[in-house]
Amino acid sequence: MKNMNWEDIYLQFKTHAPLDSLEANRLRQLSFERFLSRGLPTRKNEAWKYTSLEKFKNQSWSVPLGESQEIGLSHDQLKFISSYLTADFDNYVFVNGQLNATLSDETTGKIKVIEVQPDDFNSPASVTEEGVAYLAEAFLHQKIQIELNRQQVFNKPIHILFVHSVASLQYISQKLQVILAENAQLSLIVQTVTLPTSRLEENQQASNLALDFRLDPSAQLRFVQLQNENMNQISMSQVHAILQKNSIFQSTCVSLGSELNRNYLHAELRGVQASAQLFGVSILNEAQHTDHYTCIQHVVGENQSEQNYKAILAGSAQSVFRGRVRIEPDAQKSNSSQLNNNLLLSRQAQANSVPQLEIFADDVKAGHGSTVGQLNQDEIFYFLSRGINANMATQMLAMGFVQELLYKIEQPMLQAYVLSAVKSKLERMMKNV
Amino acid sequence: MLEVTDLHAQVEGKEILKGLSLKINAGEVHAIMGPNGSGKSTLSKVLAGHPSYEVTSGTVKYEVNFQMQNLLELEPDVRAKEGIFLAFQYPIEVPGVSNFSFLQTAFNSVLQHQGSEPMSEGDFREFLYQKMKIVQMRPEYLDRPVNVGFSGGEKKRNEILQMAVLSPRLALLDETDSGLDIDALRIVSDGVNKLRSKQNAIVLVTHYQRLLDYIKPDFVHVLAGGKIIQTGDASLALELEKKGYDWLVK
Repeated sequence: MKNMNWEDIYLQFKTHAPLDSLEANRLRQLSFERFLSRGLPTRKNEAWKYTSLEKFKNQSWSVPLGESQEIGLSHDQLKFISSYLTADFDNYVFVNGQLNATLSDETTGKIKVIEVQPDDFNSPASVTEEGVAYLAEAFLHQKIQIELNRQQVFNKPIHILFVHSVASLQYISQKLQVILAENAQLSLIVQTVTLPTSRLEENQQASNLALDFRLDPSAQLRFVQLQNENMNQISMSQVHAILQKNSIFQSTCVSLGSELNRNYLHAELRGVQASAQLFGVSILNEAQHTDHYTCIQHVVGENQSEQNYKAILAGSAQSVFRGRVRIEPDAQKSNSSQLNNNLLLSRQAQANSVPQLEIFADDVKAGHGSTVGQLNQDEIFYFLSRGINANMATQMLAMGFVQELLYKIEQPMLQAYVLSAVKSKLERMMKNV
Repeated sequence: MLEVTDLHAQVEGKEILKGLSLKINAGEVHAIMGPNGSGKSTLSKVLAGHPSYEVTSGTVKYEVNFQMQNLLELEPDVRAKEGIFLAFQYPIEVPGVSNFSFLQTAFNSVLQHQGSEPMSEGDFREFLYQKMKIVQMRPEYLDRPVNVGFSGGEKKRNEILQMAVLSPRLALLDETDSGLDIDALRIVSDGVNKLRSKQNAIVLVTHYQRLLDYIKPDFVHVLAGGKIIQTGDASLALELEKKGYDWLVK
């Protein structure tokens, strides 16, 4: 890939953010070189058929440079960020990659921000994502680590809020690692917001988030990834979750709209009776684009994976769901289901659904299904006949379409938080119809 | 309150109403009877503003703010907010929307239209419990999705509950008695009778005289071939029960 710009900014970045470990330095350099040689995926790649990174590729990005830059926040900006915080969570706010102590709750050791180590540069899980994943690794300096001991349970969900300013074209890599020892339980919400700017800037912001989850036997991770609406945002993420026996990984990925949003999720079920429950809710309008690519790998048998992704699409929005389920030869008695349902509110909206089942064991259950539909006119008339206007009826029916998935978020405060974010996006969206 | 004059309406290009005229005043109960396919259900759907039904000629005037206005110009939700209520022959199941939030949103939409403040969730729940007694409905039905998994009788009771909550001026009950056993019929009819008043009017569209044993109509109309061909008092229904429609439809 010929892009002098990346080489320039990498040089600048590594000078500002050297790593203590020489080995880590070397591996980071290697990731960058691999990124350059592999390049970013193009639409010729089947896994990227519906999602183009051209726009990302053609920008002259800059990278925020280490701790040296303390970002001054105005009163309005502080107010804006605070509106996302709640006393129901332990909140940790990162502004342009840096932990902001003023906005964050006391760190009582629940999270650590530490330099990346050599083993943070493990090669990407999937060949389809490697360009993006190597890029993420190349620009890592610190990672956020949440580690729970055996039996440990926190009283509140952990809330990681990434705040980005769009003062310039800015690219940020982030890494979050969660390690849950036996029987530990964690509720975690990660979201990204962009500061509103007073000037009429059209500057873009790109984030690339590597999420590394390790669940020891009987551990439980309930994870919500919330991508807030922002048309100046290109956001990419790669989740890699390893599930040991009896562990439960529940993931709810909520996309409320950006120019480009790609979420890759790789769950490896390495233990029996492990359970991966993966849900997605996308609510998109205008020209917003969200692409979910999941890869569920049943390495051993007698475990379950469930995927249920739903999208509500208005305007000329587009959603992509590609669900790959791989059941290895030894994974007998695996149980896997996959559903992708899409509700189109306009003629221009588009939903693409691609199931990809690779089953190498013979005694398994693996189902999949997808639908694309519109609102039922009889239902709409029923609402009208009770005095509820068409706009409100659409909003309620759309909410009804996705809320079953949101109700699966067991932690009540987390559920309420996500429900209200989804509701307010639907309200905003229907105002413009 | 309502004046229908020479109404012609069609669905999917087929003319169903062929010059129907009807006048309804506040406080009256009208029963509309007639053979299958005569246009009974079409009339109530046209009045409620169902988009599949097209009025080709004729007028419908409805009293809004003490003035007769052209009902056909009003959007269906505005008609509802102005007091027109259609109890569906086949109530629609709405997965994903709870009965409670459906009722509360409908009720507050009407309040808002009237320029009043919306009722809080707590107050509305209290109000709703009183209304549910009218149709002997248990509170757990409120948290279930609208009509999903309801029996035929429960759906019809739910329609009457909606009517009780919205207290319409003109209620159109489209074959509310169909599919009901005797007990359910009694509960539904009692509910309707409790909602009768001098201020509102009720139109019962029905096949059977049986319903009229429970809800006494002031007028009985016979609808055939898209027109009202006979109007009488409650005794007309009894006569129809004995003789059928043949003696009227030549």
